[in-house]
Amino acid sequence: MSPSDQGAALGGGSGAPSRHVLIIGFGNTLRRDDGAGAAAARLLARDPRIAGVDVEVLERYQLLPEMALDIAEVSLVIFVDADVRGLPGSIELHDIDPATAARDDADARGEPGASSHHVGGGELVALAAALTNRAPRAVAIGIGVADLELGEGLSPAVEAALPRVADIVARLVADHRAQR
Amino acid sequence: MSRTITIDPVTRIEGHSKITIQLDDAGRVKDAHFHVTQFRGFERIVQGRPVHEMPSIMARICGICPVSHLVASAKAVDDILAVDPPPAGADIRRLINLGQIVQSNALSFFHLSSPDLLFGFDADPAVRHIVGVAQENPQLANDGITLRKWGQQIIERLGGKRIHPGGVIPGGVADPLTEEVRDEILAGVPDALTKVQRTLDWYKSKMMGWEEEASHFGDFRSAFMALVDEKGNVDHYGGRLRFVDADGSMLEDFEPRDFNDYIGEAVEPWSYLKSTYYKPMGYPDGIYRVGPLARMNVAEACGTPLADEELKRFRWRVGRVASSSFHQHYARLIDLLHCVEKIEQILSKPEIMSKHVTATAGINRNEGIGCSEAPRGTLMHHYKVDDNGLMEWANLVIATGHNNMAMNRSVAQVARAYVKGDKIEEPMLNRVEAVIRSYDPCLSCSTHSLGDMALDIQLLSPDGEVVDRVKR
Repeated sequence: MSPSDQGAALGGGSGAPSRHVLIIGFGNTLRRDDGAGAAAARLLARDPRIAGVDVEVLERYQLLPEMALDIAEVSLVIFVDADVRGLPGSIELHDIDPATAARDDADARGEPGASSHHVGGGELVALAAALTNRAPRAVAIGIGVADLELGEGLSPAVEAALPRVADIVARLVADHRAQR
Repeated sequence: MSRTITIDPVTRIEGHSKITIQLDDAGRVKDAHFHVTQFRGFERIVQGRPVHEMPSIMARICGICPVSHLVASAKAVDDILAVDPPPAGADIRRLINLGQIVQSNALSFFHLSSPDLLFGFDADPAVRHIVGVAQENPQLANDGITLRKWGQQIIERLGGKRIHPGGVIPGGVADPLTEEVRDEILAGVPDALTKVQRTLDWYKSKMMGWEEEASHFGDFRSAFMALVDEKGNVDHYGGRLRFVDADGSMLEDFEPRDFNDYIGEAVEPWSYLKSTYYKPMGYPDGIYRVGPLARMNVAEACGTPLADEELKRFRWRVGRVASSSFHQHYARLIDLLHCVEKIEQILSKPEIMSKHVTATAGINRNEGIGCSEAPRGTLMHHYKVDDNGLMEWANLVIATGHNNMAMNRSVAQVARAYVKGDKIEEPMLNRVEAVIRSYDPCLSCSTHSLGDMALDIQLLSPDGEVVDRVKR
C-alpha cells in the first residue's frame, strides 16, 4: 500500500481530515534517553521548516488511547520515540501498516493483545481506523538509546541524533505538503 | 499434597500485583491472596517539608488519580490552617474532583473492563482489548474514549494540565473560574450525558448474560462505607462518612476527622497494601467495601434526576444493597452519570463565578485530616506538623486499602468456582483478574508502588510448594 493509499478513508469512510500533520514525540524525560522522543518534539516545535497551521507537534510522556481521535483527523502522523533495539544515536524510520499495526505492537511487547498501559503508535492507528473508518499515513521514527538510568539529560549520541531527526521530519512534512 | 497457583502479573489494572491461590490436600481452594509487591513510601518522603507543599507533592503519588490526592491533601492542610475555602473555591475543587472521577470511571469501564463484557470472559485475549472493542463496537469504544477525554479536559481547564495539575491549593483554589472555561465545560455536558446513558442502556441490555459471574465475583455480605451529604445523598467532596451493613442499616455516621475511631489498619507480611477494617468488628471480621458500589449502597440517593432514576432501576434489579462486586461496573456508570449532572449543576450556579476562591491563614493546628471520594472509593490524608508547619508525620488511607480484604475474599470465591485441578487455564485466569478489575484498584495509590502493571498467579501446596505459576 502506498503512503497516499494509506491516507485515504478506509472501508468507504468519508470526510477529509481538516488538519494535516500530527507529530507526537514521547518518552520519560526522567529516564535519560527514554525522553529522546519528547526532546525531539521540543526541537521540532521550534523548527521553521515544520511550523505552520497545518502541523501540530505534541510532546507527551506516553501515548494514550484518546490520541486516536486526534490521529483520525490528520493525513500524516509521525511518532518519535526512543528505540531500545537500535545502536546509540541510530535512527530507524518505518511506515506503520494499519492492517497489522495493533498485532505488531502487542507482539513487540510479548503480550496477547493491546494494553491500556502500553498503547503503541500502531495500536493508536488501528484504533483510529476502527473508531472512524479513517487512518492516516503513519510513520514511526525510533532513536537508538545509550542510557535509560534515572536522571535528566540525554547521552551525547542521542543529543547528536536530534538534528538529523529534525531533518527527516522536515523532509517528510515537505513531501506531504507537496503531495496535497 | 496441597498446592499454590500464582498469577503474575494481574493485567488491566493500575499497578503491579500478583495473586496466589492455595489449594488443600484434596485440590480445593483453601485461600487466596492479592499481593501488592512494590512500595514507594510518600509518608517518609514528605517528612520535614512545609505543609503548604503537600498538595502538589501528594498529587505525584499517582498519574491516574492525582486530583484525588490533590483534593484530599488540600483538605488536610485546610484543617491544619483551620479554614474553610470560600464557597466558590470549594465548588471549583468539587468540579475538578468530578472531572477526575469522570475520566477514571471511563478508563475503568471502557478501557479496562469492557473487553471482558463485550467479548465474554472466555474470549481469546488476542481480541479482548480496547482495539478489539473499537473494531467490534466502535460506538461503545468511541463513547468511552471521548468521555475520558472530556473528563481530562475539565481537569486541564481547571488545573492547568491533565496529569498532576495544580490549581488546588491550601485554602481553596488558585484562580477563579472564567466564563470561557465555564461555558466550554457546560457545552460538553449534553454529549456526555448522551454517551453515559447510551452505555447504561447497553449494559442493562447485556447484564442478564453475566449472572453467573455476578454470583461468583465477590458476592458476599459485608459493610460499605462512603461520604454522604446532609441529606444522605452521594457526596464526592465533603459531608460525613457513613457505614451501612449488608442489609443497608446504618452502622455509623461520623465526621471524617474522627475516622481513626472507626477504622483500623492491619499489615500482612505478603503485601505492601494495608488492610483497613471496621474497628468495632475487629480484624479480619470488620470487612467493608468502598467505591462506586459502596456510594450507591450507602447513600439514600444520588441527588440528581437522571442518576436517581437509574439508581432506582439498579435497586430493582440488584437489591437495595447490592452484594456482588461485579455490580461495581453498573454502579460505576451511574456514578459517572451523576458526576456529569453534578458538573452541570455546579456550573449553573451564579455564585461559581465569585472572585473569592481562597482563604489564607497560618498554622493553627498541629494535626489535620482531609477526606474525599476518589474514583475507587474514600481517600483520607492525615498529617501532623510542628509549629512552623513542617511535616512530622503523614498517613494515607487509600480506597484500594479499604477494599483489600474484600478483594482477597473475592479472589478466593472466584477461584473456588473456576479453579479445576492444579493448572491455570485462561478462563479461570481472566476471571480471577476480572474480579480484581471490578474494584478498579490503583496500586500506585494504595502502596505507592512504582512502575507499570504486572501479574503473578501462584498455585501453592499446603506446605508452600509452588505447583503452578503464571507471570506476565
